[in-house]
Amino acid sequence: MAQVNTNLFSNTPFFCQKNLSTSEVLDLPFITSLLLPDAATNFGKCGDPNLGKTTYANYIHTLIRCGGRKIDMNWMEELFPMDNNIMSETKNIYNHYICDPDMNLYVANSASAASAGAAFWVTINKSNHTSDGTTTLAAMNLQFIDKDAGIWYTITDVDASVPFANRIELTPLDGTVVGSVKPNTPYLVGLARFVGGCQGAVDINSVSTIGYSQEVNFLRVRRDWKLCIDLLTGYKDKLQFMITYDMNGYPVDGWDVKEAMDMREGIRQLLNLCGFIGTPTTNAALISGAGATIDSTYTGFYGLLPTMKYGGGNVYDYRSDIGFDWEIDGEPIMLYQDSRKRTSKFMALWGRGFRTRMIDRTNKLVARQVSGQLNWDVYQRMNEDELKKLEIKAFEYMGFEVDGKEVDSWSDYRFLGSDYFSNLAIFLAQDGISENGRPMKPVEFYNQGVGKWTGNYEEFYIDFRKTDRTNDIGGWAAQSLAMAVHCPNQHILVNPVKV
Amino acid sequence: MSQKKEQVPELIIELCETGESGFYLDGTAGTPFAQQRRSPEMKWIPTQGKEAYKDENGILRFREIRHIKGCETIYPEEQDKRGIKPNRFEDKIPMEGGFARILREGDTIGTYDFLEKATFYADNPFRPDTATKIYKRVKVREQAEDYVNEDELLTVAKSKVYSLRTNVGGEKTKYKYDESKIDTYCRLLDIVEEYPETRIVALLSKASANPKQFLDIIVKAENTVLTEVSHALKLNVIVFDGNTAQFAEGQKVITVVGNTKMNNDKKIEALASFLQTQEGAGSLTEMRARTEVKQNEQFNK
Repeated sequence: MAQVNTNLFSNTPFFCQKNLSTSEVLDLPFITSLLLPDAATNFGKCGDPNLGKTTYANYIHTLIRCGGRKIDMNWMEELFPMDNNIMSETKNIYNHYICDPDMNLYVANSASAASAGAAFWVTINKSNHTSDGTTTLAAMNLQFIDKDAGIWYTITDVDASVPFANRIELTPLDGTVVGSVKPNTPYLVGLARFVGGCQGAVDINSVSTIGYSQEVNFLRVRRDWKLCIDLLTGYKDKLQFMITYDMNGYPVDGWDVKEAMDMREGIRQLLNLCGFIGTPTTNAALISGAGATIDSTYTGFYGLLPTMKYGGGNVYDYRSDIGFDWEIDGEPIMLYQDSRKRTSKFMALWGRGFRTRMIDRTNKLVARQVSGQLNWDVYQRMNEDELKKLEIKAFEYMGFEVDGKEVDSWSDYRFLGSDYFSNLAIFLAQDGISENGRPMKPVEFYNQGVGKWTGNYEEFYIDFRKTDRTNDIGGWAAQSLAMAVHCPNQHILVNPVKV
Repeated sequence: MSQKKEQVPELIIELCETGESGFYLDGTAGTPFAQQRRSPEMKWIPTQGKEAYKDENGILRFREIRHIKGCETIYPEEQDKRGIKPNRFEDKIPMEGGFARILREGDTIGTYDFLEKATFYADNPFRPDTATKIYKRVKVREQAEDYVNEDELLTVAKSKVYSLRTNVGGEKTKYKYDESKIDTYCRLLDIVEEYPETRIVALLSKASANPKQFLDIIVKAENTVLTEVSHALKLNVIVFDGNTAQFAEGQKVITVVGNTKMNNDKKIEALASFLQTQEGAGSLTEMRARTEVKQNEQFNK
C-alpha cells in the first residue's frame, strides 16, 4: 500500500508543546477522505470493497484543497470574544437599559382653538405614555411650548380616561394667540408651573419609566461523533498524528479525526450564527413534550441583527444598486446620532458589496494611521501584524471616527453570504455605553456556573472499547452561551434594499 | 357657520419588517399593557426609488422617482427643470417607532406621492416581488373590525358558559347548575374539576383564552348530536312518548327529557344534551348503531 507522504502527518506523536485551543484546531488542514467514518457507508456503497484501498494508493498529493479561502466562521467571536465571557451564577439574566429622557411631546392629531386666547383639547401621541397608558409628561399646570414658533401654553386640564390616548387642554399664555398644534412636531414641556405669590400645593408626578428590560436566556449547543475503529486498525499506517500550526506558525501536534474537527467546527459555526442572527426558541413543541429538543432554561437569545432591527436600533435603508454615499447617506445619520448626543466613534463592520460600492465623492473620508488609534477592545490586544491580517481601515469623516472591518463571511456564499449580507454594514458605537459611569462593551457574552463547573466549552473523548466493548471511538463537545446587545439605539444598521 | 373641511388623503404606514426583540418597557412585561419593542427606534426610507406603472399598451415599466422635501413633483427631470435640488438632510423620510402618518397637503404632497408610488410600498399593486417591501398601509378600519369581531366572539363564548347556571334566588342554593351540560363541556375540553362552581371557572378560563377554539369544539359537538337526534327521529329509530324518549324498536327508554310540557324542538335539544353526558354516552352509541342499521335497510330497499 502506498504511503501518504506528507510532512503534515506522522505516525509518532509529539507530545503537545501546547494545548490545542478550539480556535486553533479549527484552522487545521485535513483530508476528508483519509478518515471517512465508515467503510460500509462510503467505499462499500460503491460495490467495490477495494475502492478505498485503490483510492489511497493513487493519491499523489494529499493536501491540495480544491476551493477558496477557508470559511470564516469565527468572525463574531473574534470581534466580541466569547471566551472572555462574564460568568453568571444564575440561569436567568436581564439586560436593561435606560433611555435618555426626552422632554418633548408629540400630539396625535391637529387641533386649533376657536378664537384668540381660547382653550382647546388635543390628544397625546400613543408613544408618549407610560407603561400603564395613564400618564404622560403633560401634567396639570405645566407649560406646553411650541419652541419653534415661540408660542407658550399652560396645560389647564388633563383627561386620562382613555389609556394611551390621554387628552390635554391647552390655553395660550398670550391672549391674542389662536392656539394650534399639529402632529409630527416636537413640543417641549416646561417641567414646573407658574404660580402667584400665595400659592398652594399641586402634586406633579413626572414620567418615571423610560427603561427597557430584556430577559436573556442561555442556549446550549452540543455535537457528538462516533467512529468505527475498524477503519483505523485496518489501515494502521493511516492512524494520524497530525502536526498542525498555531496562529503564530509554531507546530503543534496531537492526533485527531475529522469527525472531532467537524464537531468543533459545528459548535463554533452555530454559536457564531446565534450571536449574529439568532432568535430564541418560543415554540412550546420544541421546549416540552415528546418532540422537545431543549428545555425551558436554554431557550436562547436574540442575536445582534434582530436586536438592532426590532429592539430599538437605528436602521438606515439604502439602495444597494446605488451604493452608500458618505455625504448623502452617512452625514445625516451621524448628525442624527449627534442630535441625541450619542457617540462619534464607530466600529463599522461591512460586507464586500458595501465596501466596493462605497461612494466618497467629496473626499471627506480621510484614512487614519491604524496603529495605536483603535479603541475596539479586541484590537488593543493585537500587534500591528495581526491587525493587518484583519484588514482594519481607520477613517475620519468630519470629526466622526470610523474603524472599518470587512467581514469575510458576509460575502462568502458557501456560508452566510448573500446579496443582502454582502451589502450590509453595522456601525457599532465605540463609546457612550456605560454602567454606573463605567464604559462597557456594546456586545457581551455570558456563561453560567460556579467555580470549575461552568457552561464553558467542554470536550470529551470516549474510547468505547473500554465502555460498552464495541470497537468504536467517539466524543462530544458542548458549550453554553448567552449574549446581550447593550443600548441598541446607539448603533446603526445600514440596511440594503432593492427597488 | 362652520364649513365642513374637505377630507385630505392620508397615508398611515407601518414597517413590514417587525418582530420580537424581548425588550419590554419596564414594568409592563407579563401585564395586559405589555409594551415590547418590535421595531427600530428610527428607520429611514431611501429618498430615491422607482415607480412601477403600466404604459398605454399595458406594459409594466419603471421610472426613477426622487423625494425632495417640500417639492410637489417626484420626477427628477421635472425637479431639475424647476431648478429644485435635493437636500441631503431635509429630504430624509424617517419612521419613528415603526410608524408614520402623511397627509397629502402642503409640504408633504411629494412625500405622500413618493411613498405611495415607490416599489418599497407593500400595497403598491404594481410592485415587483424582487423589490424590498419596507412599509405597508395600516388598515385602521379592518383592524377596528377585527377588534370588534374578537370581542364579540369572546362575549359569545363567555355567555355559553354563563348559561350553564341559573340564578334561582334561593337562600341556601342561589344557583342551579346544568350539571349534565357542564359535564359534557368538561369532557370535550379535557377539564378535570370536582365541583360545578370550579368547573365553571375552568370553562370560563378556556373560553377567554381562545374563544374561537372553545366555540368550535362546543358548538360543533352540540350541533353534531342535535343533527343525529333529528335524523334518528326522522328514520323512526327513536320516538317521544310525551316527555319520554325511547327507541322505537323494543320501546327501550332512553331518558325523560323534562317535567313540563315541551315542544318537539325543545325535546330534541334536551335529548341531545343528555346524550352528550357520561350517563347518556351508552344510549348515544346505541342510537348511532341503530340509525346506521336503519339507513342500510332503506338503502337496500
